[in-house]
Amino acid sequence: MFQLWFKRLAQVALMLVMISGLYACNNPQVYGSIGVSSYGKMGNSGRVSGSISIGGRIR
Amino acid sequence: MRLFKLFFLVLFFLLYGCATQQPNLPSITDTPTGKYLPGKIVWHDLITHTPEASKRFYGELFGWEFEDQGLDFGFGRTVNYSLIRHQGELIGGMIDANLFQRANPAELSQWVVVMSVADIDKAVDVVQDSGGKLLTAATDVADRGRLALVEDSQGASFALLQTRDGDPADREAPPGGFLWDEVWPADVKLASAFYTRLTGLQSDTLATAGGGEYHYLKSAEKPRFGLLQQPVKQLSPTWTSYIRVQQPAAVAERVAELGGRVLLPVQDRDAGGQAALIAGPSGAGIAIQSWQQAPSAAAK
Repeated sequence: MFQLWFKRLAQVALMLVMISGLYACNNPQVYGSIGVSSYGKMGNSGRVSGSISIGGRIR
Repeated sequence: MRLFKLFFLVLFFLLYGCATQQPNLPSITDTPTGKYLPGKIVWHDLITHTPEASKRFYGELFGWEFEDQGLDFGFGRTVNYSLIRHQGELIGGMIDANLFQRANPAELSQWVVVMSVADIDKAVDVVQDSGGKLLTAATDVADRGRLALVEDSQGASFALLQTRDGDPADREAPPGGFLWDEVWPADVKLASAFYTRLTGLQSDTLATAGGGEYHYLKSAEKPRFGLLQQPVKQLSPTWTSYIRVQQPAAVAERVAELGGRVLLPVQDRDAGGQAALIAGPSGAGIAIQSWQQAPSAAAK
């Protein structure tokens, strides 16, 4: 009786693990692990300060 | 009992299918060259939580056209990926950040530069050995090749791509096209060492009018990308791309009406012309720059 219950429990546990594994299917790959962007961290706090007068293509 | 076994069998095949399913991203060029240009920024992907507003913004400002792909990720799931064309040429892609199922997809919005590498496995090793971080291991994305998402040693994220059929040939960017790419690290010398080791490109500098130096990496005499010490206080290390425009002031004037923001107003450049930093409706930053091509200058 105990063995039967233990077996059932193990089956249910395995089933739950496999079902939770399916969750990974929802994650689009490659860019799914992208972090918060620098611009995203900055928020919508209006204009920023700085200068790109020496940046950009030079040749 | 049989029901259990059948259920397990179905689950197993679902998981197997999930593990083996890869996104089939289209090639980055209509005309494969078969040649590899390591270190060249060959593609730009916009991750945005406002795809429709972004299409209008970039379409109106730069004349871009978007082709929806609806990539199949298996089991009936599709991801909204759009190819971006300018004057008929493929120049980038756009992916809907809402599909990443994050608490705040707006914070993910960004332009990702994609750098060509000859051997992606070696490149990933170099990134990790040089203090960078692997965000997504090299993944086979079918027609596009193999793609990995990484961070440099100072936290700027970008993608590495070993194209399947070769990189797009160098060509001059027309107005509305990607003109230049630049990484904005906290320490330019460290960044230069990191990217030189990763790409095999040569480091060089150019004296600026103000007595400073502009750092860039080049292949033979062809500049590939620049390195500029964090020009904006509020931004952590990041990559930023420049779009060629004829009149930055006229473009900047339209940014707000199209749902974007001007982050740094139009300013004169030391090397001539003007530039500004703007953000699209999703908050992803991009620079605009006027550029007068010298007759003898090499194509980007």
